[in-house]
Amino acid sequence: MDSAIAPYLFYLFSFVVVVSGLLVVTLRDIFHCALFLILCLFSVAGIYVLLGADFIAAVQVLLYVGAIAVLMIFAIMLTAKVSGIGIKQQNEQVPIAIITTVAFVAIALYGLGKTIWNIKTDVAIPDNTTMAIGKLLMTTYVVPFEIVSVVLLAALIGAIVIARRN
Amino acid sequence: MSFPNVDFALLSPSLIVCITALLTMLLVPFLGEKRQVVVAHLSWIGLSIALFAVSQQIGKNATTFGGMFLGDDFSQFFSGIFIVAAMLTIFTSIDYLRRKENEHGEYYPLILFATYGMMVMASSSNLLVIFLGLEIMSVSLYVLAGFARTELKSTEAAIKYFLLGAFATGFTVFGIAFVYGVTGTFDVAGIINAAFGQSNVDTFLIIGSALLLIGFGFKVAAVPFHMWAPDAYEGAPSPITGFMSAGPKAAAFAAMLRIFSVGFGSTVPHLQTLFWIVAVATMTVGNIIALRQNNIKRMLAFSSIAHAGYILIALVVGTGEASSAAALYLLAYALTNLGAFMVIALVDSGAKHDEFTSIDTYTGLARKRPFLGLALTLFMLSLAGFPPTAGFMGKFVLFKAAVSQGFYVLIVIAVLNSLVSVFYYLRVVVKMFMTEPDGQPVEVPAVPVFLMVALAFAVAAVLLIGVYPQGWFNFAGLSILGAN
Repeated sequence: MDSAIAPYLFYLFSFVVVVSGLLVVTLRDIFHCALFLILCLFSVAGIYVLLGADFIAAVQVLLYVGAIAVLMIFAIMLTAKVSGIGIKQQNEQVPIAIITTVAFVAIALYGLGKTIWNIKTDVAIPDNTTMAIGKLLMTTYVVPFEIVSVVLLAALIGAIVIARRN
Repeated sequence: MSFPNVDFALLSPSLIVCITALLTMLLVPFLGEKRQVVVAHLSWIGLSIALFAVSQQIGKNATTFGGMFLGDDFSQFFSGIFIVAAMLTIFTSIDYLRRKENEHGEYYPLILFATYGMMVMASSSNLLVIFLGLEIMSVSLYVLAGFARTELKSTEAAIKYFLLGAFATGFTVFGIAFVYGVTGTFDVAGIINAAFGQSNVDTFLIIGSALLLIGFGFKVAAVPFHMWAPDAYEGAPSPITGFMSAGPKAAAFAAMLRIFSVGFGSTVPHLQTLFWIVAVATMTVGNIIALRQNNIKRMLAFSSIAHAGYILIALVVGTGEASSAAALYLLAYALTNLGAFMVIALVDSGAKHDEFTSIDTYTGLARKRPFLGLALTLFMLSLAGFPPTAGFMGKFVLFKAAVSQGFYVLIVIAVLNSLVSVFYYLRVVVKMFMTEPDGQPVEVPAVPVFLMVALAFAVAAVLLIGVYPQGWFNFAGLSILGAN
């Protein structure tokens, strides 16, 4: 990545993430929400690319954009009378939510300048992260890697139990 | 690059639970509709083997997988609580599901998966692993809460629990990410090392810790993150409500004690103050709203919120003594609440739907069924904290640990709260013993064999811990001293 334009791309992607994210939770047509969600997830993948995390970016596109978002659109298409009608996304708690969010952003911005992040500058970013991630998953992070499979299995059984016919 | 050393003996308790879950799950489709109960029996047999495995690992205090999985006495103590909670829940459920005509075998593997998740949570000081354990537990519980699919309330409970739980998960992950960003490690000891001794702690470490507190606060139903608890507790099938109040609560507190009380709390400024406020708010709100409840499950939901407030005292105090006191408290609370929910599930199973969960249902119960009445009275006294029950001992050691560190105001508030709580616990007792039902009294089913065994066990355990707490306290104390 050309380092001269990388910061501008970062701000562009971040702007798109924030705006499309806001649209997801404010638009009244659920189909439009789903489309903006795809845009949002795509931009996040762009940020991953800028950070040199190519594997994560690919997974983001493949899983979130490719699978989850498409699944959502299918669900909307197959559910009768859910697209096209306006769904009210706000309730009386909007003011409180805005105050909380602004407060959190303010604290985060304040903290941003005061925090020394633990950045390892002496490690070179590999050209291809897939192999490094694979090795870590099979050695240092083998416990979480195995436990994730149980998370997925439990979720799978749960989904079947909820969806079964009586 | 080398594969980490694996100590399978240390892993055996959680592995046995997980393998039992997998095997029973595979068995479910091969059993006919009438024989689903086989799954229940295999499940508790597997759990008892796991309990034996836990007993074999006590005192080892070893780690495996490069420190990612801890087998100290702290995790063995809590694993024991989770396994016993799961077993008692299964014993309560066998007859309950049959009477509610909801006998689906998947119920039991889901309980086992939840138990496995809790054991993972208690057996690691790595935030990543703790989080994954939390997810296994939560996902299984969302489904279990909605297991009575034909009941509107059960579905409502599952949806509310799921939405707010998923929301809380976001906070937890956010918190972990911030803490990792500042310290560069997931391990609690490493985090404390990175933060300790710095003149000014990074703001994002404070924000991250606060977000972690919010995430776990949801799981233990601490005020102001308690909104899901009453609906989820009321709508879930009664044995599952008991399980939710015993196991997951203990698991979330085990993780919190691991993260916050080994030095995190004193390292990160303001965190202790936050815990103080949350603890006081939790016990006060829980107790006051519980006074007005007419549904026994809802009342115990608020009672469970209040108890979370008492246990949070241990995190305010932050000493080893307070942590072991909290461990003993959680054991006492788990056994007491499971016992209470055995009686509630039995009464509830008298009707096909959920019309038998109001406190009025218990009118005159003790006159017709003296033993059931006495058992429920014992559990209510234990929840209120009367001697010689387990609940009294739990409160006693916890408050003592706080007083020895000079938290007088906190303890005065806690004791006043306990006094308030006596009112609503005794209301049930008064209903059972001193009032006559207006019309036709509620028909309570006969106690089935497995429930009888579980009930006898719970009664004996509550009395035993109340009369002879020293052995348990020593074990709980050892368990924390062995940490790290």
